[in-house]
Amino acid sequence: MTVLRDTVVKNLAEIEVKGDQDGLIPAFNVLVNNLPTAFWNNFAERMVAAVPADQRAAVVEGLVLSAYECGYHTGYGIITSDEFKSVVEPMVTEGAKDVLRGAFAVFTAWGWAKSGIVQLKEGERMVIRAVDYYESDSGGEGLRAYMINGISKAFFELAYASPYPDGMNTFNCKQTKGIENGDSFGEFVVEKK
Amino acid sequence: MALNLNFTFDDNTYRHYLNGELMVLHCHHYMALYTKLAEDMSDYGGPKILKESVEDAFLGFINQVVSDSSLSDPASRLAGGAELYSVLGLGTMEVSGSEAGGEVSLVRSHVDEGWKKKWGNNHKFINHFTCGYVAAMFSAAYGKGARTYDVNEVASIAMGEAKGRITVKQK
Amino acid sequence: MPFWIKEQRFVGNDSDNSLKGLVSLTNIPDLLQFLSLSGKQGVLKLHGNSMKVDGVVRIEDGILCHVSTARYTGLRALREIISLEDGSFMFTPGESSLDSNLDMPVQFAVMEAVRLNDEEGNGASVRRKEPAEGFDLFALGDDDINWDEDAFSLDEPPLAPKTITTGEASALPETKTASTPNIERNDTAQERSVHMPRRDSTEILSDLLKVPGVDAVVVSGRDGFIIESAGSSSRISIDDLGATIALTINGIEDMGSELEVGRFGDLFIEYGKAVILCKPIGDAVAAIIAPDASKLGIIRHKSKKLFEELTELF
Repeated sequence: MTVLRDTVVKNLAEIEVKGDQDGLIPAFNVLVNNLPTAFWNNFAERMVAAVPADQRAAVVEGLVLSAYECGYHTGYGIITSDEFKSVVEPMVTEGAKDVLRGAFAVFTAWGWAKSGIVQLKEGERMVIRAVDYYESDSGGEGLRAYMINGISKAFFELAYASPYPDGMNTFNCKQTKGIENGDSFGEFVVEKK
Repeated sequence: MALNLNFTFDDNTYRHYLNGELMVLHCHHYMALYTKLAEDMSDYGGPKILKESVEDAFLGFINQVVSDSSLSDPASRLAGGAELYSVLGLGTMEVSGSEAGGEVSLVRSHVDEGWKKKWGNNHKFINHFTCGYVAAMFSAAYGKGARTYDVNEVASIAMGEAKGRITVKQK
Repeated sequence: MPFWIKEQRFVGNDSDNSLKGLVSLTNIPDLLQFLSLSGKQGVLKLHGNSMKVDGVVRIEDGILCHVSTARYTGLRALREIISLEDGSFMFTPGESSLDSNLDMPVQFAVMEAVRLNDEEGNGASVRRKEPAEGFDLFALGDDDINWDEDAFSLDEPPLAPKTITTGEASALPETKTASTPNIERNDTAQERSVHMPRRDSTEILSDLLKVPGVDAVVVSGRDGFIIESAGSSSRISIDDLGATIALTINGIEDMGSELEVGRFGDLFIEYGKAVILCKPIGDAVAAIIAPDASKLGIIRHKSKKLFEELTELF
């Protein structure tokens, strides 16, 4: 048995996340928000376009870093959450590999990207493929799935780097293909620095 | 007031929608870092870009939700916008005003509290996100287009105040 | 009927109703299946050049009744015959006095021979051979194929095992080894060189779809994530298929563990006439959907190299 993503998605996808009496959504040790993807895409696209060419890399790095930190902290909250323990953990038989499979199933279920693991060399390399993701709706040029890029790196570190919170910045992630760039899917390669 | 909210899920793309708008969950780290990026890019208009990105993304969405909730008069549409703010996990606001403008008191704030969780109190206003939201909310309430209102923070939870305060003025 | 077989055209005279051709332009499983599916009864004689193998096959009503080569008889001989990559063949319809040494439906026998060859890894990979554009094997004259009629006699089993020392290929009669077809061909141009750069999965899946009888191909992660798919899969929910594959393979692997028989190799699931073939490729699973289960042997043959390529990617 390994983690069956269909089971995870079906258990977690039909969510109606709403703010509590304070208008906040505390979950997974973070405050969650539920916003139109148009906002995230608008800002990324306009910010990249607004800066001179020599500043673009810095903006892109900032956008990826935002997702990376989000993925690292929220990802940890997710894989230690009651939801993960009840839905995913019973299917975990291959250790970190299955935890990663589960994390990407959750990532899919909650609408970040319909994505999963294509290749995995434990502790060394991982290739992620995303066949549908909201960042591909954005305008602009080139590969720009900053969020999946950062999250992929974060999840791999949670699985294979030093235990949370000491495992940051162990790996790199590079987007190699993108729907937004004319490819049929997005592809992300995580490797050791 | 109860908003008529319709959460849907596309089981082919696994995308989530609220009243037809494509939505996604993120956390305060993501929001705080986006805000920080806008601040760091102040020389290139980062805070303004952030504010306008919010206003443009939310104007149609708020209009849709208040219409789906059969809210037709401006006051109830304005209140509907404030309620939606809470539904989305952005915090709690008290709003008053007219077509000419008004004021918003932020009782709780995802943006400010998230910033403080991450970096502690700040020395200047950072809630550009909510300024953009409030601009969209007033425009939706009074049937205006984007960039109708000047919206500015005058008190900030992120700067240590108990409540945030935002002023709204028609341009 | 495959385009490369135009029955009765390759005739030297009115009385010659045999079917002749070059092995290099087709492959033996294709040929056997064609003869079987078209209800032929008769004897197929084969001569392999580079492998120095001659063989005789008798088919009746879709049943393989007799197979023999210089060294083997029965299924073992079939395994040797299907490995032929060059040479020539001639099928003569009609009854035969050849003894029966096998009694298996052609499809099943071919599949079984392929499976056994795969397991032993003895190079039974039958290449997909497409004639060069505009090339028509059966438009050639008799003289173009140097078929040695005298090499066989239908009256008695040729190359009786008792006359040949096992393993001594050089003991084959010279008359057969000399019968090299004089048609120039370029096999290497049809094959993927081992030195070619690694192809991406999309390209390989596209090649899998070209295998006759394959309707759709799906590559799924062990968790059921559909990594890639190709073909006419629009009528099915691809995600549901991925979930089903993952569930099935997990169950089968659990069973393999319980029985201590190792990891699963191939899985065939038949639904009426249709069949789904699942195969592990690295850490993923490939599933081929074929609407006609009778093509399974051919599909396995022709997809073998492509599966090996896919395994390198996952």
